[in-house]
Amino acid sequence: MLEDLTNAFGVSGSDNEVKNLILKEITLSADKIDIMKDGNIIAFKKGRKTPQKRIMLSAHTDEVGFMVKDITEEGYLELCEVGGIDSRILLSKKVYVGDKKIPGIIGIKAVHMTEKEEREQIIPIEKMYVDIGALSCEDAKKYVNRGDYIVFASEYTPLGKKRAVAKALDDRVGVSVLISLLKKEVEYDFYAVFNSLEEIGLKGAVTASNSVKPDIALILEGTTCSDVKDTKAHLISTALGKGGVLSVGDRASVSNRKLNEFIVKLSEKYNIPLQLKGTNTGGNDAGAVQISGEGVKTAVLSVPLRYIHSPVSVMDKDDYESVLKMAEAFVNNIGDFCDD
Amino acid sequence: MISKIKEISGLFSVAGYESKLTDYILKEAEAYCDECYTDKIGNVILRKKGEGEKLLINIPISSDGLFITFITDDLKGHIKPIGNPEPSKISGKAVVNEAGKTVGVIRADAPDDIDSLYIDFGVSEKNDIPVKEGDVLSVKKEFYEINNTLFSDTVETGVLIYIVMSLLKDIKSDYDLYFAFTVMDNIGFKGAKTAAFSIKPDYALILSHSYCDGKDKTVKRDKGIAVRITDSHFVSNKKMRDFIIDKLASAGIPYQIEILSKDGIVNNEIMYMNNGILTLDLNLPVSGSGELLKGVSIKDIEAYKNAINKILG
Repeated sequence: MLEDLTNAFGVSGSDNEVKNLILKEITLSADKIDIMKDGNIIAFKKGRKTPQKRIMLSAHTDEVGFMVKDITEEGYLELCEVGGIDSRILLSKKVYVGDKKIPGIIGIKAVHMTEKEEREQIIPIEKMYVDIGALSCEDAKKYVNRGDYIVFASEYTPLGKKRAVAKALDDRVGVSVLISLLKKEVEYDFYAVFNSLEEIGLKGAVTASNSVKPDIALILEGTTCSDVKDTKAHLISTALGKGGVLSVGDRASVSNRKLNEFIVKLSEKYNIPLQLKGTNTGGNDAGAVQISGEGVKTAVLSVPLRYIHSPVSVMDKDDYESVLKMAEAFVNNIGDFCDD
Repeated sequence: MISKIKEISGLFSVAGYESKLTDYILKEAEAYCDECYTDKIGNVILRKKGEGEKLLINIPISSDGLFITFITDDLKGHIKPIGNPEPSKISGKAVVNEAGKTVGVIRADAPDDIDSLYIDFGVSEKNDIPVKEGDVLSVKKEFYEINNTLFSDTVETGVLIYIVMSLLKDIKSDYDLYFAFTVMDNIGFKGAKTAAFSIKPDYALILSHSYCDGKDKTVKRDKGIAVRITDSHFVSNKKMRDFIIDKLASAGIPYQIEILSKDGIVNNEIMYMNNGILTLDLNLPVSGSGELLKGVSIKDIEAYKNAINKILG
């Protein structure tokens, strides 16, 4: 399932392929499914008991990508980002353009035509283009249009004994966990929200939480993992193979302290590996959900991902399993959570 | 008065971890309010019922802090910020945990780089380190009374809370008053947003502070309450600001106008919520822009209290 989800086309604003996969998976397991005007999917799962507080678990369906900004006379596609992407990783990457998934390559002018100063600087995205092999602007327009979405061309591939590389693990890991949870028998009722537009500013979470009106929300995410060469130990945000990640806070929110303590206790009770996020960078849907309506108690549980927001994110399957077990423990015990 | 302000200013108030301060407010206020409660996000709301329109009085209470991210084998406790503490200002300062215990001192390999800061716990064995990864800390707050001025890290919050608490018992107002001590506003439009959403006031007064020594320098010490009519987040409604200014002027209460070209307080975004909530800032003149220790003159405290009493009454 995660393989299908990551291979699906789902840049912010154009993630119907992902949503269709989700609906196909949850139609028989959710007790009620609503599709909002803006495309968010809200599924209700009946548990053995109804908790006193309204519980929401959410994951976002969209991934970072690009859009065709313009087409040059020569038939090259100028691009702009959709979501945050490090331009250093873009050169020579293969992409697909538009609904027809026209293959293309991200290129720049040849190195022998650049000045020394240009070669020593990070190339901005404005200087890049997508080459789809078109012969001219007219030729290109037979296949693509301005406004078409562009996605990394990258297939899910196992890596080593228990790791995998794919695009869009952020946040198809969260989506996959939520789908799996909906297929289980659970102790307490909860709302599973598959919302969009997280990568362009936490937008879908605003409307979703306005609709669900949760009291407590667990955001399921993919997060940065910096346990790579030359990283000082105290700057490692998370590490692969050390379990799911619990956040204290980031640029968008501070997690509810009591909810975090509850999750830590569950991890100890059920012996589920859990690690603390060691940085406060970035942000996720908790930033929007926490301040929706009269306020929501939020916590964030993530799968650590190396090379996040690239076509080659790497995850550890054990970490994914930890997050799934943790989320299951959460919905099975949340009725015991007390913040008074 | 001074001992109360000192007590309040010293309470742990890091964004998301304000319970010591909110518990204090509830305990002090419950005998004098018609309703008092903590809402879902941690704001404390006190209501004094009145027959008139709903007036929200918003006092933001959270402060910046740190959390421990990683403890090295050589006993350094690395940290990340909650909010925006200035690395060069906090380097060398003692830190306390939520229980108020002093646990170490901040050191820095490079004072301007937050990533180089760490806590020196003063121990030689890892088992003796009094914190764990994830623990939230605050710079240990100092308090001084020097030449009729009170200096402390969060003196402005301490003064504002003290003033509201001291008015609560006797205030008589035509308005339906909601005092919202809101959390996490130092990291974005958080507690104030949810408080305004749930209370749905007709008007809002933000009680905050204005720097006498900030970039714009339009506010002076000992010249009265600062009525901020614009900042980077809002432009006040002219009728409302004229109404407030007339009230102060006709009672002979000194005030000064503040116009901020940059910065400001994000709580003013309340103005654009729900169907529109007319909002105005009424600020305490404070010195110490960009510094840890802020200063408030006792004369300004008394003038501010007088002004708020007049406006709400």
